[in-house]
Amino acid sequence: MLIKKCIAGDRGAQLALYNLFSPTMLIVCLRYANDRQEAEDILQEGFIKIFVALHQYKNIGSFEGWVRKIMVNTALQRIRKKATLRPIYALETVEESLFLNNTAITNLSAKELLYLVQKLPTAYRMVFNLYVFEGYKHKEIAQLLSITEGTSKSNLSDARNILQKLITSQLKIAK
Amino acid sequence: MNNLNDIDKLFKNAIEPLQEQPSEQVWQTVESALDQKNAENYKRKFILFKRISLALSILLILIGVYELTNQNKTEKNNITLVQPNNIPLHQNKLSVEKKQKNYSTHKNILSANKGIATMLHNKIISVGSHKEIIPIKNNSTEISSTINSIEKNEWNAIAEKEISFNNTNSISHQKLATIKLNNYSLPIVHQAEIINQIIQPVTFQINKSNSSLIHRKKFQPQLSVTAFVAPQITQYNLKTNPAIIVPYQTQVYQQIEEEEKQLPSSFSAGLSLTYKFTKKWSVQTGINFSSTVIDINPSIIYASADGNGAVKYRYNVSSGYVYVLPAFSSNPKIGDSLFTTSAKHTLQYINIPVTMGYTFQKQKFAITPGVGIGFNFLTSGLIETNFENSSQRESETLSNIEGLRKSYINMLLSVNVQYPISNKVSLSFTPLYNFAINSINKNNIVQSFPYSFAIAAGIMYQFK
Repeated sequence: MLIKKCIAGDRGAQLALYNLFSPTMLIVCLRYANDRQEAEDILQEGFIKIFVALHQYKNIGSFEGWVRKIMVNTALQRIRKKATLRPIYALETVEESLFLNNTAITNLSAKELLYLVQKLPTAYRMVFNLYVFEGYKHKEIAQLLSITEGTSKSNLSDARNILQKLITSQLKIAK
Repeated sequence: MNNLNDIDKLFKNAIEPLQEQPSEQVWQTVESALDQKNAENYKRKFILFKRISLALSILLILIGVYELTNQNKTEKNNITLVQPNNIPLHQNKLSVEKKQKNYSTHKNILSANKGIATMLHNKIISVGSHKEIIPIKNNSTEISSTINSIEKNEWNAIAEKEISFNNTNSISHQKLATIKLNNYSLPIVHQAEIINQIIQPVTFQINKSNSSLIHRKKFQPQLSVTAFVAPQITQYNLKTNPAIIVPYQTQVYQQIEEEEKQLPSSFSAGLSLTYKFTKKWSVQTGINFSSTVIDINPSIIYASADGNGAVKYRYNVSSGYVYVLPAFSSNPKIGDSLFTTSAKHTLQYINIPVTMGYTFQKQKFAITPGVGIGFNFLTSGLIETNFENSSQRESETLSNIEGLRKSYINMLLSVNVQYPISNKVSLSFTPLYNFAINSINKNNIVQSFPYSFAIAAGIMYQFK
């Protein structure tokens, strides 16, 4: 019903839809963006696309999933404009395998973890987000980012290593 | 590995439930963008109607101007003089139709290609340079005697002669009839007799009945066929497709726009059939073949998965896209790239137009502005190019363009100009502008709307 009203151009309904999804979608955008400003830019661009293309939503799958997909695509499109994803980023060799347990993780707040994701180099951040949060396979990620499947796997592995390292650093600072 | 999977899960579980309110500024920007989009949608929705309205307005203005400037001539042009049935004219017919019909009166004596005899509401009788003002009565004796007094040589010397008379006793001052006489060739001895014969039935006719004198010429519907060829300049309006949301959409759009910015060369040729159902209104249809050749600059194409899951190189063009796999690159990985050389992209359509036209005559020229729609059916779409990597090169002709509709509709605006070279054959020139109403693409990243300006030149044959 809300969707139908939005399609009809009811501004009140559009605002209600925005209020319903924007807090969750801002987090999605924050995961892909470098900072909050960029995340809000992605969010507003994504919502414009959602309202324009709303009549194309076919009631297949969850509506939130559809909204999230558009938001992710908008983020990828924006980031691709800024930097090429094809070159493989050089990664510092992670010399030691850091031990990480659940207790250590829970000592960091969710927002701090989100901050760590944002600190990942762009190419790794994209692959990590698409794989871990959006549930894409490496083949799909490769197609979305116009990279090879091997690069996708390699980037994911590097992203995990960097996150481990960052978490350790954060914990050390906290102590 | 287990440890790494835990990282994935723990990040996901920690971050996913998070929510955060965006700043007020975000909704304000969204709202103002939506207002703008609404305005654009409104404009887009009515742009077709605007264009049709504009075309019809121009047509109506042209009609209006024509009608106003020719208001006084219309009545004169439509008058036909006929010989009354009850008045024999030495077994001959006198029939003059709108300045151009041949007629003969006295057998083998008078032949005239063109001529004019005018009955006016004055008391002048004139032949060529001779003018005498005389009173005219019910018979034409005085007229003939006057004309007979004109020097013989003048009959031959004067190219166009006018015979004007007025029967004040019988002619309604509103009635006007015209007979044009030109290029006489007749024995002088019969001048007076002929003039009598010409004038007599006319004066009688007027006396008898005004309505039987003046007849509106009844129009017979006409069918004609025109064979034409039309070189044309074609361009494409390119837009991103709002229905397709992919991360690389903008890049593809920019790449196509950059690579296909050269002017395509194109032409069309065919037959058009015109059915003129009134003196001025006609409907036109036909069939023509059009071919457009677009030159594409060299570019880089990337491998991606096609619809069947196979990894191939995707070549994007304004009309659609093609997945291609050169023999030298049999097993590409997603993201691999290839170079293409300059490419030649050919699109061929069969077009069936339906237009409505309004004709007005300007001396010998028949000018017909028209407006209508055309239905375009794709017959062939080809891309000829070379693919190359650092060491190998392969030439390809690609015909399986995806994302290209089998048909599209366009609007037509035209101005047809005809010049008769015989009774049945005319030369035809038609400047015409057409533009696509819908995109030539389907489910493609970009949408192309072709528009073109052409000048069709042809020969028209009119069936009787």
